[in-house]
Amino acid sequence: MELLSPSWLYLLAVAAPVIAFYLFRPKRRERKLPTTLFWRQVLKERSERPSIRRLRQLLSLLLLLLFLALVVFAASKPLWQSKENTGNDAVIVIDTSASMGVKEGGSTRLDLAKEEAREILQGLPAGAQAALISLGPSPRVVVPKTQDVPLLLRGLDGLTTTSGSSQFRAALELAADLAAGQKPAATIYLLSDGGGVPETETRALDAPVIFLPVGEEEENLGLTHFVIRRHPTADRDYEVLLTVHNDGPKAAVAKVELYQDGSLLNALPLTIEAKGDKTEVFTQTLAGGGVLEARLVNQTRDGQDLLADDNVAYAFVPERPKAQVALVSASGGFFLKTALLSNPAIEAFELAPAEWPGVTQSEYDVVIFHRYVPTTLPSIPYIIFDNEPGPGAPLGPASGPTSGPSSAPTGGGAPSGTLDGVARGPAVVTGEDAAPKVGLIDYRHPVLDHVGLDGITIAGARIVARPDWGKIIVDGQRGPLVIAGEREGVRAIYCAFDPNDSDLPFRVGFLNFLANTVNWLWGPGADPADYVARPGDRVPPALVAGGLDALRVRLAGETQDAPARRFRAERPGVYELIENGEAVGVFVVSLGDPRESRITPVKALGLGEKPYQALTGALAALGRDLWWPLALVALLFVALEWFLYRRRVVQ
Amino acid sequence: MATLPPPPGADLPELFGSDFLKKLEYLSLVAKKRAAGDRKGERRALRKGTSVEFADYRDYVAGDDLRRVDWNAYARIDKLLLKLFEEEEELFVYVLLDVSESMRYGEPSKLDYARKVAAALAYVGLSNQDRVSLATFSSGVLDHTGPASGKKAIFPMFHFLAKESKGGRTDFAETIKTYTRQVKRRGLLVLISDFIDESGIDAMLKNLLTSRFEVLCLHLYAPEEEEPPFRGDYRFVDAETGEFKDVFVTKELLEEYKKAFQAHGDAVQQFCLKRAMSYVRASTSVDFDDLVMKLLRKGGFLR
Repeated sequence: MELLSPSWLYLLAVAAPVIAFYLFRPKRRERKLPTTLFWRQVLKERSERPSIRRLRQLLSLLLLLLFLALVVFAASKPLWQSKENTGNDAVIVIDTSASMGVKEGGSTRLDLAKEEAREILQGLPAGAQAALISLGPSPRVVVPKTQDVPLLLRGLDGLTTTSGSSQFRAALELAADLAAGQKPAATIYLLSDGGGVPETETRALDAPVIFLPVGEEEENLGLTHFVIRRHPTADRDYEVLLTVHNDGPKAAVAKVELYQDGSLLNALPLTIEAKGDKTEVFTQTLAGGGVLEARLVNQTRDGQDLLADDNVAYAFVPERPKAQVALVSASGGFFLKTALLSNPAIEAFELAPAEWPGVTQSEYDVVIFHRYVPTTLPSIPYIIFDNEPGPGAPLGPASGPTSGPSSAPTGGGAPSGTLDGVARGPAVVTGEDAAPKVGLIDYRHPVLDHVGLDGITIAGARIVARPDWGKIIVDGQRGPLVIAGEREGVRAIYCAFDPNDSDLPFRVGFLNFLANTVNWLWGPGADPADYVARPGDRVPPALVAGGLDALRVRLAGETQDAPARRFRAERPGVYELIENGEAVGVFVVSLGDPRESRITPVKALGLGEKPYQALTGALAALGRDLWWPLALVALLFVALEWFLYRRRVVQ
Repeated sequence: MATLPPPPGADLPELFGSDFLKKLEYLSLVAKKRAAGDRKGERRALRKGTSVEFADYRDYVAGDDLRRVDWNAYARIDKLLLKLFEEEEELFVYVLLDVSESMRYGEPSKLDYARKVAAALAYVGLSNQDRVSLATFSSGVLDHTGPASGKKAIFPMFHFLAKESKGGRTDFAETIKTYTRQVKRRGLLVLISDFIDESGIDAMLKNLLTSRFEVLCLHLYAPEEEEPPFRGDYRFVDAETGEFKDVFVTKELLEEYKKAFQAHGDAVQQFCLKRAMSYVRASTSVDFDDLVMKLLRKGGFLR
């Protein structure tokens, strides 16, 4: 324990006049009685020892000295928590994270913290310096070190809650840097509910830290996760992951409503255990892109919740254009053409093999080669349905996999090798199989999602060497039948047989196979995660590839905008990117932080080598400003003692 | 019975109001013993006298008053018989008033209260044609009035009682011994005091046992004595001896004091009752009218 104001100990000198006052005390009150006979009788029976009598006479003196010691002790501001604490200066770190917006009996936690900070500032000894730091998503020095208490109080009044998480480590290290500038180091007062404490430790702080917890409430439901992603195989289906945290001591009933652009899509009733999480993963079909909004309704508390910011979460689903697919078929490819045309997510273009070398490949997203293998592998994703060997498709020479313009020609009409090793596109054909048998099928691959190939009949297929560029997703007894992989940065699928030579087109899975193939080759498109930011974040980088300078940002529905370069998200909501007055992009901001939704105040902060225990009640007050109430109490006792003993009021 | 008008210059208001005197006139002292007297009184005496109440006959002897011969009896039995009548004689009442220092305590002081009681008793006695004598004492008999009767005697007695006395230390044994020797005619001895004497109860009252007086003890005390208003550190000074005692008065100590005080009063009462003396204890906070009209009646002083 250390004393912040040891100079007050000089007040102990007051004990000297107090003792003198006792030594020269007035005589006893004298009363004339008819007789002292009865008092003598009584005292004779008691036969009180002189030592006890003296002790009793000294009692009031001892009490007075004790009270004096108490006053001096309180005024010297003892600190119980830190041995290193010897400074009078203070660095006040106030949590402004979302959880500090919790209402506690009409006031927010931030209001309570401000009140405590105000007491600390007003109780600073003369000449002491103080600084103010806000602990939010972006910790910052609100008021640098100064002796100007009114300036500090104004800075304190200007603090508001943010919707972000507390960055304890950054804030405390910032505070420690400020505090360590002087010797002895200033005391860091951390006023927080403890929400958002990182599990990792901060670096060793050179300054003493006093943790003053704020708040008592703990009943809160919050959306801690709301993540959406495109279903890997289905074009319009999205997987939604949603977690609700219940921080209260009892189980809670809630409802999560899912809106797309303001229209209700879905509603999920949930029961969440006390101090537990409930996670739901479900598939949601969306007609198009747009803003998805999840709203949490706390039905246990009649829709009322202590923290509003975590009751809503947003996601953005970017609009996905139709895939531009070129079908280059040497024999018409009826089934393929029909399947492509039946898929609304695909816009198909039919090309003759002779046209292919002259087309601009970048106009298409995916190209399908049917019974035709181009001499040069394309620069866009492709699938090759190779034809069975025959007169119309003699094999070329075995020259290994080729690609690019310099590759050897492997065209369907240009035999280029022997059966021992002919490169046909990405594959190396080593022979032919008149009656291929299907072996292992990797149904986990996205291309085969919802595709059944068991018992498939194939009239004939190429025998292909095991590839070093892709993964065999359908294996045959004599070689791979379908290979999927990536060659030189381009996704490719090689199918060793022609679907027309099998019963695959007559299976329902054929449509899925083709849709999966196009989706897998083209890629997932824009990721919804690219459009999500957290409070305190800047504009998502994926949206500003061209630079921030010309862009401004505003909250949807509002007129105020801000330069995108200086923008940092503060509130949950939907934000628009503005360029030349026009909205050119959208991103969303959600709190979605389990640490902020846990509003139960913590009793200790595990930030350093040892946890900082909460300094509460009388200890906290002793460490700060309870010295004057204590002094008043002591003074009251002294006055009472004087009144009773010195003034002889009690008779 | 006619009421005497107060004489000019008498300071009656200090002691009694005229209404109170009227009340007292209807009371008479209770005399448990018959006493002989030289003069007619309103009490029956052992000696046969000249009152109208027949007592007995005796034979006529020469020299007897012929007016007392019962001529009817002489006519019936032919013998001269003299009618004897009850002699009605006055009672001797001695009021002994303690004027020691300890009697000056209280508000009003015990002494003032006792003076009024003594005056009241004297007046009652005088109203009943008793012979009343007053005396004051502390370490001994200080002053006294000679036996007097008749209402006119009350005014000198009032003045006697109003005289300032010198106080002093109480000595019951010496006082009673001296006084009982001085007084030749026995009668009713009324002792008004706070009965505070360092020598102890037996020692201070033993001389009463052999005095052949009918004794009435009126024990007065101040309410502050019974319930001392003290808490804390005090130096108590004995009014009679001047000795002091330093006392830190606590609640517990105060309770013990009350017990000691009560025990003293009980001891005086026991002493009196065991020896056929009348005893009344009264606080000076008791209304004086009530004490005279009710308390003394209960204690056998009045009828």
